Parts: sequence; structure tokens; C-alpha cells
Amino acid sequence: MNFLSFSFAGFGILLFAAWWALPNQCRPWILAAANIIFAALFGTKAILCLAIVSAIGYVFGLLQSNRQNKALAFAGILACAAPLLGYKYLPVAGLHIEALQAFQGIIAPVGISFYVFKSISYLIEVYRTRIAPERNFLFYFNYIGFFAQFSSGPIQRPNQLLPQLRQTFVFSQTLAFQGCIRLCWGLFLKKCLADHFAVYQGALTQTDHYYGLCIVWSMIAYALYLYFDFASYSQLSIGVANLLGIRVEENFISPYFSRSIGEFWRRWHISLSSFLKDYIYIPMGGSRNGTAVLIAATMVTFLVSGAWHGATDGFLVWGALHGIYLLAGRATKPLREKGWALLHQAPNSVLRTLCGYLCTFVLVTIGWFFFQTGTLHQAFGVASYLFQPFSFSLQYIKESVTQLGYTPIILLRLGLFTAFAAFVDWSSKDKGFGAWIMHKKPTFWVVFCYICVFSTLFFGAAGTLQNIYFAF
Amino acid sequence: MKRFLSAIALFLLPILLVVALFARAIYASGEWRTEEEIAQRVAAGEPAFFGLAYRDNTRYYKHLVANELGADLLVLGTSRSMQFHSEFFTNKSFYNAGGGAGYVNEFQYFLEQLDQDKLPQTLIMVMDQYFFNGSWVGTGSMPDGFDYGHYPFSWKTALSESMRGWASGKFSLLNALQTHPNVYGMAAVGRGSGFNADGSYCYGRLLDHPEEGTDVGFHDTFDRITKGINRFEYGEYVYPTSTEVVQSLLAWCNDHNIQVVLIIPPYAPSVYERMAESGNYNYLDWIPKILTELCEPYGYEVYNFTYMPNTQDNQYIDGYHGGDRVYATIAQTLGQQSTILQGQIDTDYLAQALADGPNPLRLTQ
Repeated sequence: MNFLSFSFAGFGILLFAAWWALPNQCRPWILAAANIIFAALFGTKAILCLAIVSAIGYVFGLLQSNRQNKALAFAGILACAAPLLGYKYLPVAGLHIEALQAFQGIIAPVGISFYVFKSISYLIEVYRTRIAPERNFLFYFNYIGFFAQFSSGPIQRPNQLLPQLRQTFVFSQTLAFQGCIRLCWGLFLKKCLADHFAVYQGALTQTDHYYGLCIVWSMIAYALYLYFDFASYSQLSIGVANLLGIRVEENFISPYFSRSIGEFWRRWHISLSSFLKDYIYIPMGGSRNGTAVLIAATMVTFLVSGAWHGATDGFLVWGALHGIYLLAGRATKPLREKGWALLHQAPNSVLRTLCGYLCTFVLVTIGWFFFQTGTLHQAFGVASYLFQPFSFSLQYIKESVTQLGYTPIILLRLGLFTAFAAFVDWSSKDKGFGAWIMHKKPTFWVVFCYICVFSTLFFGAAGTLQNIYFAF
Repeated sequence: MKRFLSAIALFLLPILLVVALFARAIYASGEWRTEEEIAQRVAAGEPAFFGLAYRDNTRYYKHLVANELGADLLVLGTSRSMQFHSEFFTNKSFYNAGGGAGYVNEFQYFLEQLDQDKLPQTLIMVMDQYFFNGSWVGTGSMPDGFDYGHYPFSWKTALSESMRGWASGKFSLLNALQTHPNVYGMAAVGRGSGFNADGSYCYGRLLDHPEEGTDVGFHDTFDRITKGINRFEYGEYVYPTSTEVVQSLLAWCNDHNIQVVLIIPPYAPSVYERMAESGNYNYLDWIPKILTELCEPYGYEVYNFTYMPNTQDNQYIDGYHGGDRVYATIAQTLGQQSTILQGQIDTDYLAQALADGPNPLRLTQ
């Protein structure tokens, strides 16, 4: 069920009404029912897998009551991760190993990547005694299977979500308004930006029909599409949760306004990157145990990130590339500081900031190239067309744009909407969208929401494409 | 909670009012009317002008009307046959079922679904060139079966599309809210485009504003030729299966005493020249020869209008759809050359209609 469908709207309205009309004691049951219904819509496999992973995590959590047992924690993590590893990597293994050919066609249940990581996060936090094991299976199931985060995250930490699920919910008008504003913003990002940019990537799939420069434009379109699509889902997810009185941390904080790759990963898919930092990078030694450990920790963290997204070599290369970016960034920092000092540029100077944004965007977009193609074979195939001879004439540039299907009106519209989104991102880059918008006056909220809604009604893409992170 | 709900209701009010305005426009346009209702009106001789914007049930509608009217002279083909108007013919038992056959094997299906007493005496079949190109047919363009399933009207689709359409300047809301007698559908009301009662097509606003078209300067068609895609796939020879299909079709027509005139429709001159220059469309030269061979046993006629150097690019709607003047010229040629259509073409009317006029996309009368 897509968040932007009439059926979800009906589901949401009924849930909202039942949630706030009925007594607090009923709410865990209402949420559990909503979670089951939502998961069941994705098929029996989805609900069964959710039930199994929930049961495993719950049992292993309880087994760790009053004792820190590394082996037990590890066994629990492995047991939770097993379905994810199986579904993600057996089909790929089946392509190369004859004995596993039977697994080639299996498709992972929706959301497995997200709720398995939630389970792992829970078991590690229990092991570290940062939270007590959850004894009430209802609360635990609602944490793992929370419908608003089911299909594409965020991967909210148990210490953030579980206490909220146990509380007595009191209706907060401020939080509810914030939720509504996020729904409007998510709607705009998806319908006016993401779904439009999705259409202009033809040069990445039929490379022989386009100029080399078209591939560059398509990559930029892809970079924007990926961000707007995923960010829209996160906003809708957080907005829905807010309407139930549940607070969720930002998953994106203006990532394309990052001055370095390190900063990018503090702003992009924050729930996943912080998971990887807290549970892989830092336990492996992080940056405080020498260069060799730093290199190993960084590369393993980013390879796991790549592998989480997909089992093909393209994703691994994408992950490795970001690891190399980070390490190279660290290694060259003294040199870069000297260079900027020679140019008399303070750390927060406009020139330095703009260069940082541009370089980071270029590096990230190069990474997206491997992410989008998925396999090295396809990546090299596309790259071979990228380096066709091209002319620097205005006519060539114009044709490279029109070949992709852009018209002046489309460019103007997309340009204006992107500028609007950039303005919002720029304005909220320090505090995040939620904090930024809530500091504005109610009049601003109303105008902002009307811009989002009417833009969607009059200029939104027809139909609604599946969110890209649904596939992970 | 009450304050929150009141605020939300107040916020939604203007949105609902705007949506209601568009709903009213859709209702006033008759977009919701069914093809059956309009077919009945056409059969009753009403001057119904039918142009839906938010669903395409052309083949279903054309079949309905063809079966109602049982015209003696029937035109059948894709969108490249829609510009034959009843005024071109002296035979007033005429219907243009153009749009009713989108694939080479759909012609026979269309005719087989007509009641026996509704079959035409004379059939003008317009056969698009790519029907005979294995590269195009191989893209799934010879379906195993057909049916006249059709899309019902959907308020959700119509509302969202109408709002987007209005924002794109496709129609005037004020105009759409007014009453338009005998005009049905948002495309008909908003842009003047749709099917006349005789089945021929009017491109509406596009005729006076060709710069608003999607293929200005034929850039889209030239792009397709460069890439060899989307009806402009490259081909060396005629696809044998298509030939067999046409053979079966002609035999069927003969069995049902239907006289057939086969027409191969035109490309815009510069489009054809670009195709010829590319050297990738050699199958085009084979089509008229093969079709003539197939028609000979039955005395049917074949006319190849693929390249009409006596027409101009500005008389074409896009790279492969001629305007009314192009098809009037075709009809005039048929009037001069066709034995089967002898006496059925109004050459006097055509001579007047093809007189010089200010708009190359319109006839002078």
C-alpha cells in the first residue's frame, strides 16, 4: 500500500480516529492490528517473515535478561539476520553455484532489510544494557513492525521508539500539525520532483540512443530523483507517526548541502549510517586505534552498506568508493587546509563552502553511477558511451537536453520546484526540517502547505511510482 | 483535538472548492458519457462530436458505431486513416472507422465482429508501413487476440488529469464550464479535437496552433529515425507473417463480397526523404509490390502514397500523420484512378476544398 494512495488515506483516517477516540489501553492493540494489516497487504511471505523475525528478536532479547552473554547476543543477531542474508544473497549465489540454482528466483519479503536491522539494533542495545529487554511482546512487535517504517524505514532505534510505544499517548496539536506539514512536504517531493526526475534517465538504460552528455544529465537527474524519492518517503513516514503522537528523528538533513563526504553521511539516510557507525565502525575501532584499524573499519562499514542495498558488485563498488572517499578525504585534509590558507579562505568562507558542496555532489553522483547500474558490467557499458567525442557547441548541449525529453516548460517547472526544495533544504540544514518548520509562524505553515498541495494537484506526476528504497 | 480538526477542515476547504470546480467542468463537458450513448446518437443522425480526454476507447467506439450504421463505404485503419471525411465522397452511406485497427491482424477481427448485414460493400483499408516490418511486429505488435474491453470513466483519473491539463494550458476552465450542445468530452470541449459523426477526426486547436504539437519540425520523428525506434524500426524485407495475414484478410473480404481499396498512407516528404537517405528502410519498397500481387486475384486495388512530393511538410500534423489537405489530395487521386471507387468520390467538392487557403492544415471549405 503506497502512502500516497486513496486506500492508505482511508486506512490512515480510520486508524487516526480509532487511535485517539479509544482509551490508551487499546492503542497497542490498535497499532498491532494496523501493523499486521499493512504487512499482510504485501503478502503472506511478508507477514510470516515479520512474525518470525519478531519472535526471534523477542526471545533472544529475553534470554539476555540479567546477563551479558556475547555468544547469545551474537546468536540472536545471526538468527535475525539469517532470513535477510538468505533472501538477499542466495539468489545471486544461485547464479554462480549450481547447487543453489533453485534459489535464483526467490524474492525478498517487503521491508526485511529494515526490520531485521531494527531487531539487530535492539539485541545489541540489550546486550550493552542500554535498554532492558522488552517483556511485552505487543510492544516489541509494534516496534519491529511499525507500519509507518515497515517498507522503507527509517530504522529507528529501540531506545527512541520503544519508550514511546509504552507511554500514555496524549494528543499534541503541535506534533499533529508537524505531521500534517510533513505529509504535504513528502507529497510535494514525491509527486512534483521525484516522479518527474524518474522519467529523464533514459540515457542510463539505452545509452546507444543518446549523446555522452545525456548520461551526465541523466546522472544528475538520478541523484536528484534518489534523494527526493527517499526523502519524500521518510517525510511521509515521520508525518504519519507524528499524527499518532510518535516522534521520529530526521532521516535526511539536507545531504546535498554537505561540504565533505563525512558530512554527507551525517546527513543522508541517517538511521542507516548511524546504525553502521555505532554497530560496525566504532566496535571495529573507528578512528582512534591507528591508521590500519581506521582503514579496515571504514572499508568494512561501507562494504556492508553496499551489501545491504544489494548483492551485486555495483553496490559493493559504490560502498567501497565511499570508503575510499572518506579515507582520501582524511588523508588529504592537511594539504587541503594549506591550500585554502594560501587562498586566504576561512573554513566557513563562501568560496570554500560552495566548492565543498560542488565537490561532494560530484563525488556522490559518481558513486550513484554504480548504485544505479547495479552491476559493474552495466556500469562499464554505460561509461563507454559517456566518453564519446562531444562538441562544446550550444547546439550539441541543447540537443543533449531535448534528446532526454526535456522541453523549456518542463525545465522551467522542474527548475523552480528544485529551487524551492533547495531553499527548504538550505534553510533547514542546521536543525532539520521538523525543527525549522516549527519555528515558523502558523501563517507560514499554511502557505507552505498550500504551495505543496496545489503544486501537486496541478503539476504532480500522473500516477505514483513505487518508492525506490522499497526495493531494498 | 477539536481545534486541530477544525484547522484541518478549514485548510481543506479551498482545496475541495477547487477540485469541485474541475468536477463541474468535467460533468459539463460530458466526459463521463458512455461510448454506447454517443454511438446511439450518431446512429440516430445527430451531429455528435465526440472527443474524450481521459480514456481511450477508440476501437471499441468505432466498432460500436460501424455496427450501428452498417455503412456501404467503410474506411478502416489506424490513426493514419482518420482524415477521410464524408464530404470527400458522394456515397453518403459512409463511415470512417479509422482507429479501429491498430495492428495488421486486427482488420479481419474488426470485420468479423460486425453483424453480417452491417458489412460494407466497399472497404478502404489503410495499411501502415510498419505493419510489414518484422522489427516492429516483433515488439509484440501482432497480438494473439483482441477484445473490445474498454476503460470505464473514472472520476479520480479525470479530476487529476483535468487539473494537470488546465495547468498545462490545454483548455480554458471558463470554456469548459459552459454548455456545448452536441459536443461530448473534455478534448472536444477544451481543444476542439475529437471524432465527427462520420468518424473522421478533427485535430482542433492544433490545426491553428501547430507550434503546440509534440513533433514540431518533426524533431521527434527524426529522433525516432536516428534511433530506429517507435514505428521507425529499421527493416530490409517485408515480414512474411504480415503478408500471410493480409492474404487471409483479402480472401475473407472476397468471400463476403467486399470490394477493397488498399492504401499505404503518407509520411511527410522530408520524413520520407530522411528515411530513404538513411538506407535503413528498404522494406518500404517491397510493400506495394507484394500487396499488389496479393490483391490481383480479386481485382482489388493498391495505392502507394508513402511519398507524396506534391504535398508539403506544413500540411502534416506530425511526421507521419497527414492533415485534411493531404487526405483530400489522396481522395482526389483515387477519384481519378480508382475503378472500384468510381462515382463515389466527390471530385467537385475536393477541387474547391483544395483551393489555396490561409491554413495548410485546413481545407478551404
